[in-house]
Amino acid sequence: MTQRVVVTGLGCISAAGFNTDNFANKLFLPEHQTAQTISPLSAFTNEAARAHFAAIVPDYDPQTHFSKSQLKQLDRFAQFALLATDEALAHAQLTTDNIVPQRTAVIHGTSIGGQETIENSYLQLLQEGKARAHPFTVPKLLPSSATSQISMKYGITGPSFSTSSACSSSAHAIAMAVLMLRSGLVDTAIAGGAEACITEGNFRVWEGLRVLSTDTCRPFSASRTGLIIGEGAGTLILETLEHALARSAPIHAELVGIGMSSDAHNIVQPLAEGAQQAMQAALDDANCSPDKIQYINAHGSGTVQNDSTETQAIKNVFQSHARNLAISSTKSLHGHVLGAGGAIESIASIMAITHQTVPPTRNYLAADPTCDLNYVPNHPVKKDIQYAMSNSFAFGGLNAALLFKKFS
Amino acid sequence: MTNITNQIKTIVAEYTDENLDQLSSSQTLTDIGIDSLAVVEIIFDLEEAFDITVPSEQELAQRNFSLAHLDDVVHLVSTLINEKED
Repeated sequence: MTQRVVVTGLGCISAAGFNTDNFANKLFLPEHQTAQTISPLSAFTNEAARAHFAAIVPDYDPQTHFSKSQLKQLDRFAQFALLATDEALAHAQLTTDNIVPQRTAVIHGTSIGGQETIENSYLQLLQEGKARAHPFTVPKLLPSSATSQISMKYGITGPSFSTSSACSSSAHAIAMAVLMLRSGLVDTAIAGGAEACITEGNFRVWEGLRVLSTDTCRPFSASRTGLIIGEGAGTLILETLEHALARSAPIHAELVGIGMSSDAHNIVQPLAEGAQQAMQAALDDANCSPDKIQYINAHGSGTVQNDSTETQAIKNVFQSHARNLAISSTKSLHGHVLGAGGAIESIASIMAITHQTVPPTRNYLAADPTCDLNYVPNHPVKKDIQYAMSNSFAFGGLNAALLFKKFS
Repeated sequence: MTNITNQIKTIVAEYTDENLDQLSSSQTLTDIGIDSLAVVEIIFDLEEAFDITVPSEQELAQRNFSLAHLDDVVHLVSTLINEKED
């Protein structure tokens, strides 16, 4: 019989705070206390008409978390990956003493990797006439460096690699971990993703794509102007149910379904059929009928195109039940964290289950005729949530949907 | 020369907990916990500090240079500085 997979540890860092407690707190704040997590980047531009907002990790000082020699090897995204993983392992009551190294996997995704390292070193070499690059530039910028750092820190010797599928990277990482756990390849998996690419160069190339919001992130709302880039990391500790029970681990939720698909359509424009296929695959994988689902943590990027396409896809999969669903995009809180999005939003979905409360879509102004479902605008809502789905639909049509269930 | 030695000591000291002033001439950098990766970093720091280019491992061997001891490092850096000035 296939192994059941449960979530025993959560860790995250984002504009919504340094850990899961901060995150939960901000996720469920009432409307009148909405946290200010999206702020202007005056360092890049002071032209109000151009995109200049982002969701950065506030008051982050690397030196309070890492030594000088550690920082030589850690790009900002790898720092975030380690901090989120430290928290997740601590929550799961796993340490180097009780982790079984060869039966544990690390699968950590990223969309871009060591952007800060790439940008700074290229700037120094190509613009500032510096003669040489620091010897650790390459190991620091590799998209797989965060995975390596996690495996080295905790002595994990099982399968370890990084996934990269733009904004679905960490959702795919989690899906890969589930397959490994179900197949019996490992008993424990450290899965998630990290991103830290709010550098001047990267911000400008995103602006070139004309998808950045000029004010804030308003998913599914009328007059939404685009996405807000965020940074951070999310890590989930996944275990087979058997393994978790044997060591009396805390169980936050069960991961009952994974669905993956590709649009095979366009490098930036989403296709409803691809999103539908991923959601349907997650439901089928869990052997779960659509009417059992109470909450969807949508991809909800805040772009005109994504939110209407995702709405259509949800209607096509859930049919008449679509109107009963609570749907929200927590990107309105933590921004679009690209390769970390799937993991952070999985954590939000699990928190919705454990708190029996739907986190709202913040910054929502008014209904858009093409987005006519219940997006839980601005204020959290108490709800009996047995099943929650987390959607990630990336550029290039790389889709993943994860289905979590209240553990019993 | 003393000035160069002191500068080199300051750089190398970043990579070891040992007190370099109490180092015996027979002790190697490996003996004081400096691994090959740290040596690569030290070479980078020396190149930056003295505006020199440390040759490849093969060329160093051909020219009978070593990086085993602190004195070897001082000798190499001094030679490279002199070559640059010639």
